[in-house]
Amino acid sequence: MTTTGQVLGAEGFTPPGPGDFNLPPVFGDSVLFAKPALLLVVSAVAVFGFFFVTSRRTALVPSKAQYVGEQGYGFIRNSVARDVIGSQHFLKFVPWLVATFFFILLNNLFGIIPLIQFPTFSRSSFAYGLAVLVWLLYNGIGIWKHGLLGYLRHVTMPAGITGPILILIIPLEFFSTVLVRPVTLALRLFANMFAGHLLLILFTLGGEYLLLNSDKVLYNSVGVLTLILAVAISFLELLVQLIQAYVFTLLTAIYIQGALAEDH
Amino acid sequence: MSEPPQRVSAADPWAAFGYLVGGAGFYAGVGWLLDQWLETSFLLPAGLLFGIALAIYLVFKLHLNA
Repeated sequence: MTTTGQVLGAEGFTPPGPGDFNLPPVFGDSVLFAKPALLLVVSAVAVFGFFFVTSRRTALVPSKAQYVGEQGYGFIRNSVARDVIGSQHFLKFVPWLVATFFFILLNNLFGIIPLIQFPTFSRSSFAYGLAVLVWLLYNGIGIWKHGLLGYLRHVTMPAGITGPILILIIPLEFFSTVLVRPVTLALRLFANMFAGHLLLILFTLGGEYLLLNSDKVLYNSVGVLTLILAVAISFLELLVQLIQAYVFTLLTAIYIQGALAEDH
Repeated sequence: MSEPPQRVSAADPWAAFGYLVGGAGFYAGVGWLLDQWLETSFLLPAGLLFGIALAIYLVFKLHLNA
């Protein structure tokens, strides 16, 4: 078979693309309330419900759910909040960080949970919304701590740099801390979830097409292999989803610490 | 981890990325404005390179303690 023939053989297959992320509305006609928005609401209720239930009925001998809840809470409290922000101020930010971590984690896990299979933050607007909250939080903390002018000074003038070069550094520091930071924070989460989901639908749809729509045994067997790989990639995605939820929370804590610090 | 907080904030690896994008973006913008004003065309790339150089200097100075 010639190469042209092989290319023609794949013509019936429509490769997945960014269009696959535009899902139809769930209720009525509003495009604003599609599957991602529904998942966001479900995850908020689920995370709140989980921690409400597991912390309400605290028993001396903890149930399995209470144990998981306490372990997760303790992990964020101690190895993220306390270690990054420092023992003096960390306690009041623990609820925010714990909520952020588990909210993002569950939304990411939706990407591989059977029948749900859509990571909410693969729609960039949700990730940007989350980054705006973090941006308001750390800038707010900075202004509360240092005053508006003091915070601007804190943000734009790094310690250890003196002399005329400071004039050149000030706009650069302002750009990188105030403008670039929230964008990279959102972009990292969004791009990881987007790429992961795209990879999964490519392998799943491609495998299914090779298996069912080809009359060649070789293509059929490659299709089976592709579907097995899709399962393997799901496990890789599980790792990415965990890491991204952790990185987002860790960076939030680092930004809070940076805004609180006496010395830049 | 029992290091002082300052060390942890320096451990944000994305700070370097922020400096590079911020530096290149801001000084390319300044160069472009000057280009419009002076009717030249070399100041945008010059500003871009200057911004990148400044960002690299900052990364070395602040985060690598050079």
